[in-house]
Amino acid sequence: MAASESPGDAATGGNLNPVVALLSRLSSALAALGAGVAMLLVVYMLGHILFEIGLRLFGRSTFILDEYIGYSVAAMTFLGMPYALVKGGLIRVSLVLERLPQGWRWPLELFASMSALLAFGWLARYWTLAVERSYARGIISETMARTPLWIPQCAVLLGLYLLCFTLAVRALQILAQRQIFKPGGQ
Amino acid sequence: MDMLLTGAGVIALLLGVLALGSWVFSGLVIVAMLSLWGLGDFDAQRIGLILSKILFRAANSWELSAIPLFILMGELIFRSDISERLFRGLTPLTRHLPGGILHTNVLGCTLFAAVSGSSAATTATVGKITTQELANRHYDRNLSIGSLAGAGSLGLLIPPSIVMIVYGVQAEVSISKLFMAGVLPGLLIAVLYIGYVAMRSLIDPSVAPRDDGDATGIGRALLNLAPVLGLIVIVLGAIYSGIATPSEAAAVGCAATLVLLLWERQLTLSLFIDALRGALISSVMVCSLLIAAALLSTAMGYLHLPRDLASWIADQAFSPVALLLAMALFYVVLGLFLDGISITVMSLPITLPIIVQAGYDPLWFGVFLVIMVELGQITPPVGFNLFVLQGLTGESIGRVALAAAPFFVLMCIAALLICLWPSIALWLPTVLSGRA
Repeated sequence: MAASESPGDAATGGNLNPVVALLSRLSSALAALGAGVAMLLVVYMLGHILFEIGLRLFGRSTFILDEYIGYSVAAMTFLGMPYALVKGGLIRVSLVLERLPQGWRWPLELFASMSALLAFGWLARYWTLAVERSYARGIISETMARTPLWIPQCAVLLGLYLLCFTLAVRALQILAQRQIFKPGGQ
Repeated sequence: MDMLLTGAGVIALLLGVLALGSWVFSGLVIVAMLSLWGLGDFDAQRIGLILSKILFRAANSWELSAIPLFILMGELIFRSDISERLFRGLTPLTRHLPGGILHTNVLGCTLFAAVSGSSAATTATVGKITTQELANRHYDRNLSIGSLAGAGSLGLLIPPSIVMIVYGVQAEVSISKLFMAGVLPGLLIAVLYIGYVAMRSLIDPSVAPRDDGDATGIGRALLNLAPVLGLIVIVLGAIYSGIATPSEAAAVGCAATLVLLLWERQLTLSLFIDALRGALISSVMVCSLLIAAALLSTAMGYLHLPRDLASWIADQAFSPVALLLAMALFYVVLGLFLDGISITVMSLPITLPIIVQAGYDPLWFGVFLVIMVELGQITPPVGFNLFVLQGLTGESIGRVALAAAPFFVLMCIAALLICLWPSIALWLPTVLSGRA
């Protein structure tokens, strides 16, 4: 079920250190901003596909449907990821976690955040190099649209940075709150 | 032997990381990186370079757009009164059957599955009306809960289906053909369920008390079913006639749902944004898993694991039946602890080469896998349909699982029938693919 909205937003928890509290609010706001753009991209996909179907009735085409919808899916996924994470919409196996006493959970929560941060941070680092190369060499798509590839690549990169920031702030929250930390959306 | 050790190492690593509470998407990425580093002797820089490119390539996919659009359609319907209409429409049609309006669960789910891509959404949408109505009319609680749990999982098998899109993308099998292959097996399961409910009520009439309350005529009933039937015709008609790809059919389905809501004066901006938000969260969950699985699959490829394992299996000359049985057991065990999409994306890089090597049709295996995943939806401790029903009824997960147990057995029987007669799945795509 998709409608997994929950009041238990991590950013609102407990007596936080003011810096961590500020970062939490910033992270939530950025995640919401990313989600807003991602939602617009879903609307765009819907609109473009319908438009293309309409044009087909007149024997015409935008010729860029596959390409731009592909970019949109990529951008939607990465820009929406921090929001899905904050809202508890990303699946995890909470079997062990739920059976642990409250006081034992936070080290595992910290492990989840830190390991994900390391992995995606590493990917973001190398993806930055790829985007820089695309930009510097002016690489364009091999399609009619001849799109400068750094643009869609950059959207994914922004999503990755946002995800890393969200994970880093989540790790800080866990360290600041420890036992009283409540993961978002649960 | 090395290959077996590598395989065992990867599986142990994956289970360890997931058991420690990692998100599945990040767990897959971490295991991809660690296995390349630890088992493949790749240096960290090379891992970063390879995997970051796969990340973009896997996400940049036109086919994946069917996922957010089908989910959006389901979210819009969930927020409309279509589920109430479904119940009102099916009640007069089922009232006189043995089992009475208990059949609204199975028939409602079967119909709703044809416009929804997920089993939890199907269970929730149909169940939000039927659980209460059936309880008010003193129908047997176990049958009411169990039939909904079992039939809700048809959301995965009867097209459109998110798991089938995921399978199609990963296994490079035509999603349209998968959508065709799922229909008859889905209907077969529905018939088994209907038969079971009817049989139970013939043996013990108290499970389905006779209900004379609602005297709506057949014409009125069909009118109530018209919106959902219309959507089914639009979405499946577009795919089966070959005029639309799944993504296009999803977009048309979304548009038709929006028009319907507008016509019914139910569409508001806040409803649309809510649906969009829900769709985004679910789509990101599914797409992120697919992308992470592509990374793991690439890592496995570099370690030559799928190829080596498939040729090892071939050398052992296992019988295809034994192999399939082992695979079924493997999926049922995984289904105890994991959700369907995670199971699919995690296992396919390994299981698909084995199954193809053994001579099975990947299209048929897609259907078989979806049924295995459906079984996982109704087995505790982790079964998404059970969670949805727990939320809807307030019963314990154990009680819900027990109520679903007969339907689990019936689904196993259906899986067996599809193994014995693969044409149950393959007949429709063979007949229709000439045109699609």
